[in-house]
Amino acid sequence: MRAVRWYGGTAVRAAVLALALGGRADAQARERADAATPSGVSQSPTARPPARLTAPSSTDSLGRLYAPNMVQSRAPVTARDNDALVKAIEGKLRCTCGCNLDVFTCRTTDFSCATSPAMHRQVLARLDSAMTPQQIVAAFEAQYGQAVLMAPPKRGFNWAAYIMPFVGLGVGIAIVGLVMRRWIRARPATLIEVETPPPGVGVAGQELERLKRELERFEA
Amino acid sequence: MTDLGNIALWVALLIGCWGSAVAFVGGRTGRAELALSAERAVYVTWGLLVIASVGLMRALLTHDFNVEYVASYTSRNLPVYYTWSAFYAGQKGSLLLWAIVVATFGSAALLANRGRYRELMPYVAGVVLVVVTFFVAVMLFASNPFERLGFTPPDGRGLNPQLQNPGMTIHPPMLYLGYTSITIPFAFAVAALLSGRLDTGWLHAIRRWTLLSWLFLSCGIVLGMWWAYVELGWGGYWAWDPVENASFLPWLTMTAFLHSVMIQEKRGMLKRWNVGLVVGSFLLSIFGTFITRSGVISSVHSFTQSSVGYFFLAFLLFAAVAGFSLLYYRWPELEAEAKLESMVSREAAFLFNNLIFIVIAFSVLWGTLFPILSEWVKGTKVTVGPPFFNQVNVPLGLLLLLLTGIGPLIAWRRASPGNLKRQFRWPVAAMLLTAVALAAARISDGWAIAAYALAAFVTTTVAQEFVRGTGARHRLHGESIPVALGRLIARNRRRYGGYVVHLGMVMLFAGFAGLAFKSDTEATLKPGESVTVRSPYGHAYRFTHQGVSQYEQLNRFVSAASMDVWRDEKYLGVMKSEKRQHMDSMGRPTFEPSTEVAIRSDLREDVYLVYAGSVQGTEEAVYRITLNPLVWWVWYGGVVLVIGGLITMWPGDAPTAASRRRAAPAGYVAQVTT
Amino acid sequence: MLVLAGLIIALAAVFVVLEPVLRPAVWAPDRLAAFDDDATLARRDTALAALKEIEFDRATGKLSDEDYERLRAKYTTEALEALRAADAAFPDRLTAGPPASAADTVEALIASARESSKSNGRKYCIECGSGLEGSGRFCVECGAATKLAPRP
Repeated sequence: MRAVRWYGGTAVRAAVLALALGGRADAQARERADAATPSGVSQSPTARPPARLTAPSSTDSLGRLYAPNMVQSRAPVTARDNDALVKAIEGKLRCTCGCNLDVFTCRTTDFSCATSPAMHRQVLARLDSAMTPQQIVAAFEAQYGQAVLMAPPKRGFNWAAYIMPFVGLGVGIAIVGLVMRRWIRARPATLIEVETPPPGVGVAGQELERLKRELERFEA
Repeated sequence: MTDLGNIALWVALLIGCWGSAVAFVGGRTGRAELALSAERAVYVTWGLLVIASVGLMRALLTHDFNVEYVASYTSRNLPVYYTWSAFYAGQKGSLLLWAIVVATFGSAALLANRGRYRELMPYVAGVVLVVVTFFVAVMLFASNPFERLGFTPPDGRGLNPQLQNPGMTIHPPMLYLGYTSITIPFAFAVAALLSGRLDTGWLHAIRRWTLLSWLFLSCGIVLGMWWAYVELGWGGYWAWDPVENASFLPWLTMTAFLHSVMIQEKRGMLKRWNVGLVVGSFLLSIFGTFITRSGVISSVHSFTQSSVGYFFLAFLLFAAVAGFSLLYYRWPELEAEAKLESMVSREAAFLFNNLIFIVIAFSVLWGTLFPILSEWVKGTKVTVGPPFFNQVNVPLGLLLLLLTGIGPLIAWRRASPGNLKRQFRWPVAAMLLTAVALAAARISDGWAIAAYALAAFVTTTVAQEFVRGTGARHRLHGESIPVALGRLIARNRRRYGGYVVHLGMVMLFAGFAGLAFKSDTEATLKPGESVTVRSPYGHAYRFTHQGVSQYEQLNRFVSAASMDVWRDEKYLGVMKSEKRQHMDSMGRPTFEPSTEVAIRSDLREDVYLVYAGSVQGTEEAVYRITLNPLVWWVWYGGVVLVIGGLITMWPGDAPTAASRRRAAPAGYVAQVTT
Repeated sequence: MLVLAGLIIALAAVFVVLEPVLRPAVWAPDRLAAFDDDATLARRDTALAALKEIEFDRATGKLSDEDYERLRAKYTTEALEALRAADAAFPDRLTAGPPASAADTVEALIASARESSKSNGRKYCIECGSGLEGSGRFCVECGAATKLAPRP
């Protein structure tokens, strides 16, 4: 059933694409779509996302857009497009169209990109063939190389990427600690010397008066 | 007029070369006439760049499509205000903008310091001229905005629709202002190193300029985030893209400098470190330009890849070698008047704060460059995307937030256990309380809990500082509470402005942590159909699709999809997201249809609605609905940050200068009587 | 036309920049004057700031009384030393204002004369000499009570 729905989606999409490219009239396209979708999934309410509450009010009164090709054509959303697992897997994969986005973000943001929906279908197909998420990600990596992963996989040389900032932090703390200790050590001699003269002793009262005046003038 | 602009650029190159040579010779030999000539060269270069800019502006506004730049970035039906922003939409124009902004800041710095720092100013003029001349040379030899085509196209290609957004008209100039104004502190630092005038005098000049460029950069970054959020339609505002990172790097080092400069002023420590930070910030700003222009690292922002990048690389290396060898040359004279008294002191807190800033900068730089490194070392291409940066920087960021709270609580010089207890009691209580409350509310994300607990900690710290400071003034000076609060801030703008900045940062962090609870839902709806989405707060949002209307507007064809929105059965209103197909003046579509997002924002969460497209050209619309908690706090956190920055650098005398002026009359009398 | 405009711009630019070099006599006066800030003054300011700061830190509870006393003793000594050094460096300015040029001094004298003639009825603080504002019962600068009679 799952597989059928998926093929149905593709067929509709193909029809939609044909339409968008200024192809035949929509009736024809719909026929083709229906033909390719034995169960008529794309039209049946069960294939809709579960989020949908009300049933279609009137199925055939659907308005046609005055200028349909001014808007990207999209296939109807299926429940699996919103699946948390699918989203999570796609969040780890980079769209190969050169957009620098992950597959989920690209397919839900750049509606002109044909690559990310294709990769999305690939993810769904692999889920259908009972692969685990790890296997799916690994399969993408085998197919496109490491660059398809949004973050370098944690193995081998790539550990350097993850570890270096914290090595930097450690080294930094060590250096700052050492420097501070040296500065503090350089201190005591003067400290002791300072402790001895209590204020006012050995200092002319006149001078202290003057210091008081200076202080009052000084705002800091 | 364009040709006049071109001539102006050539003359500017000439004057710039002369001026920079003369400036350094004048500074070295102390010959006043040479120094004056250099100073005038800065003003003259500025004037010439104004002529060039007016030339380009005129070409843009009069649609002179024979000019390649004008044809590439504008079209006849582009609204005038966006035609203005086409000035910096492309590489060539933005180089001109960069040059003129540096020249403006340079002239302002020279004018503002007329009659002061006489030994420094020739070198300052020299450094400014070298930088400006470099940009002029890049324009003339690699990327001339006045380049003409062999023919005149009837219409231009038009501006990328994503740049046709109000945010885009202010965000890049702000960022440029921030980037470029770093040149001035750098120039002062180099001047101080060259002249050997290394006492605190130059610091006063440098501090204000650094604060200014920090403020511009902060504005630019936040506006950039805002633009990305409202225009790009992916529901986020920061993607750790190399270009974003490039603007973040100098911001980090400058923030570090603004903190550590206080230690130098108060204690005469960290001189070498501070000079290093200023030089480093400048290098990072050039590095950012290099990344943006060269296309070495792939990025969504990349300008067309060109050889220009390598000019910047060469300049970067030159500036780095020159800056750091000067630092090395003056190393012994930058000896600290070392006086650290305790590991538990404000100074130590500042040292750690600087350390964290630098480590964050390092990790961002490291992540940005890692793909290149990996390709060199292993030959494998890797992508370093947001998952990496979040993983590495979230802990570091929280550590920084912790220090933001701790720093102000610790006394300068040394803190005793007794007063530590007194200082930390309330903030720590607030922190623990928040953590427990959030855990009790079954918030699953540990990092988010940590972020909010620390946010409570810092907020309490700042509040306590204001309360106790006001109380102290009230007791010491017998002022009424409001007066005491006002005077507290007015008399110590840097400290209390800084605390306001901290509050802004807390708001930003609170907003960032909200991203952990973002939810995306896609739905296909026919007119009249509804979808219900649950928000992280437990609200049920109901969206009813009304339909799609299509109409022409300005330079585009708009398809607007509208939804009625209810929250918990309370009607909130209509939200309208659009598809815009931009047209040239002949009515031919240009670019792909772009998306205009509908956003409804409040204190708690944003409803972010994207019209993704239509099913088979009907009114059956595909939507993406994103519920984005706490985004509001990011923008207003940015506003608070800027307010704090403005308080800090509000014009008026620095306190010490004011006090000296008051102290002055007695001195003058003494002078007159002798 | 264009060539002419370009030429004029170029010549004007070159003239403005070269003028000081071509006619050095006009511009030669001692323009590279002394640095207006000095290490000694900076040291004095640092010490005074330190004293002010520990006072404020004690008031806001960041410094225990014991620490305060010890640090005060220390910085008082330092501040006095710095003051003596400043006096030695600028013997002509006993209260160590900023080194001012003669023109500044004259201007300041005029300004202060104008100030005093303008505000005849004005009261000054007996502690620090700054003008009183507001109710005048406390000095806004140093906080001293001014012992003025309460307003009628």
